[in-house]
Amino acid sequence: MGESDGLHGKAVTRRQALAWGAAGAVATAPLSGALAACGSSSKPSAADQLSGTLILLGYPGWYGPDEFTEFHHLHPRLTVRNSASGLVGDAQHIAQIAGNRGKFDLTLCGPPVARQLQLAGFLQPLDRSAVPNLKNVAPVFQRQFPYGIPTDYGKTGIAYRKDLIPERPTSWHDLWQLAKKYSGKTTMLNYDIDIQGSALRYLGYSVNSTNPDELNKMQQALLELKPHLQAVLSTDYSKPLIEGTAYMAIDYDYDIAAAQQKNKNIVWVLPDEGASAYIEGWVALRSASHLAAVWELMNFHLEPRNYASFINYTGAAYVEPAAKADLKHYIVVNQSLRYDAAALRKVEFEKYLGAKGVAERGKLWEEFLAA
Amino acid sequence: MGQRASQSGESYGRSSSLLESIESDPPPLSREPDDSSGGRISRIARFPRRAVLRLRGQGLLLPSVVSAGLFFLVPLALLLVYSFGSVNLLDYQVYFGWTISNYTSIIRSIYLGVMLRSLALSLGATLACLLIGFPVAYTIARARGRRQAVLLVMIMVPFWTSFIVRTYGIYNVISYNGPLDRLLNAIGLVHGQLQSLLFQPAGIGIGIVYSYLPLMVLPIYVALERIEPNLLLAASDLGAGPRRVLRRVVVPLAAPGIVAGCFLVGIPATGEYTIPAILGGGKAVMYGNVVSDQFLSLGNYPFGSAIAMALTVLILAVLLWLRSRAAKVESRTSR
Repeated sequence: MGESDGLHGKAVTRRQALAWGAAGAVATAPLSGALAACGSSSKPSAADQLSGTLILLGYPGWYGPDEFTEFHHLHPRLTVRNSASGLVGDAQHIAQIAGNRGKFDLTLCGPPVARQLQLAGFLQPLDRSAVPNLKNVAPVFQRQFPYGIPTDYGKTGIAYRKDLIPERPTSWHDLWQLAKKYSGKTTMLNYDIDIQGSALRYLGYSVNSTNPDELNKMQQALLELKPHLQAVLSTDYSKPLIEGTAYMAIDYDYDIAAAQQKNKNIVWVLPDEGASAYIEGWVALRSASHLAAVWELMNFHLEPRNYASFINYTGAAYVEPAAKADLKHYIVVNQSLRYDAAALRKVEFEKYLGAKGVAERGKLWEEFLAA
Repeated sequence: MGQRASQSGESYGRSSSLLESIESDPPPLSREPDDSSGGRISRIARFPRRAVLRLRGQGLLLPSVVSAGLFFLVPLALLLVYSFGSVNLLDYQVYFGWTISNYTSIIRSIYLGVMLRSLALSLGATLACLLIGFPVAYTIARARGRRQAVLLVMIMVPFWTSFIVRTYGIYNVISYNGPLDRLLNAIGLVHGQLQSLLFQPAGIGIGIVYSYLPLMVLPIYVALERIEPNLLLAASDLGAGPRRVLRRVVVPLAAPGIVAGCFLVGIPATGEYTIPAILGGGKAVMYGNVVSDQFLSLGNYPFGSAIAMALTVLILAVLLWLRSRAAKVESRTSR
């Protein structure tokens, strides 16, 4: 794998966004009441007949910096508020929606949660005719996220410090070997789906496997790696790599892209065996009290200029090539963030594994952490 | 000091007389009361007065009874009810029932292993707190005036900072290339970066000791403060050396403080969540982290409640056992 360029812009990571949590949520409400300076090319629609407040359940700050203000400017009787309450895991996310029916109009989630919401009867099917800007999203992402509008995606791969190790890992196999050689110098994410998916790809299995035999081998592979890990990190994933206390990491592409801004010696690798990938998007909830306004907001979000503003702000990998012209240069050229059809062929998107599959994988992850 | 002890003795005496006057049987009907009115107070007239006094005393307890009930007993009861329920894995809604499957699942080795690890870490940290805390408390108790006040403030100042901030403070101290790493390198105890503290059980232990040390020092200090210095002088006069005085006089008299300190450190440390989450790096989880994962990551409230209840029951059993042991020892020594 080649090395990616360092970045020149400053992006916000999902974790940073979560850390801003309360402040962001509180700030959004008054901000949305203010008028924005710039307009939008969206035309007034049936949504203008509505008034009220749309509530999005999603990470704080995981939207364009002026997006909701501009939407309000376009539809003065509608405001959008973000709530991050309970977003500490997929189970809590779903429990939050199930326990507060009618509170949220739409939510940010990946296909596993969206499918589970659909099965539980909480999801409102997407009205594609009401979101014409969906055509701007690359078909591959529309196929992977049929529940709503895809907003961003990410891959779990390998990062390493080229100045600290002479080797150039290109595969999961390399990482498993080098982690033992440089024991205590590798970190990984504390997120079951992505790490288990990586271990499954290392063994040549599907990221979404629920086969007991394959899961057993996956668990053994992870337990074999654990004594050589420096940490299983829930926050500041790339900090040890930036500081040089870790030489390698299993990390997200967007996080490494941000880390490369701080240390040019960090290299991102999409492993030869393939990698697990997540996709995120907005879905409407059946209990939404402003459905027409929800479609309008989704359409507004996917307008190339608005979408570019969201990606430029969050630094996430983009799903809308039509927005490329308005994206910051570093995002377009960065190896881990740019739209790359060849890279997309190497990844497998995470799917809902069924109630038993989710519980079994969760139990295995708990055992891995407790071991 | 002698004067202060004597005042305190008088004070206890007054309290005890008051208590006796309230609790003791009423005087005979023919007895002249001490009041200046000189009139006879009948048994019938005195009863309501005592009842009012008793009610007043009980009324003072009301706020603490209500708050303990609302914020301790009710949540505990909810936890107990949840622990017999089950969860729908599709929408994570809890259904109440009376299944014991959550409790039978605890027997799985991973939970017992984590429980043992938590108990071992908690026990080790409590012992370390005692070993460090006792001399500190002794020094403070022996200090006088301004020096004592300064030492006490030094112990309490860290409590004015957020617990999480303090834990991140320790994170930086024991981190790679941190102050401890540099100090140990400078004095030649280690060569190169420290490998064994951050993200290891040892790091969690250091975090617990640092965070909970004041909870050990303060009760021991209070117990040591109450020791009459004349007792120490008497022990010396009778030929006991400093070590024997410490062993035979100071430690037994400070025992209530030591026991209180051990409980204050040991109980919360066993269920500790924040310190292992920050300093353990996800590699060395404690029981609190497992409970938290069940609630937050896996959405299995009933099982999370069951494992939380299991720890509560275990700690309660240990406390009751210790209490009965202490009562036996006390009755033996009083004989």
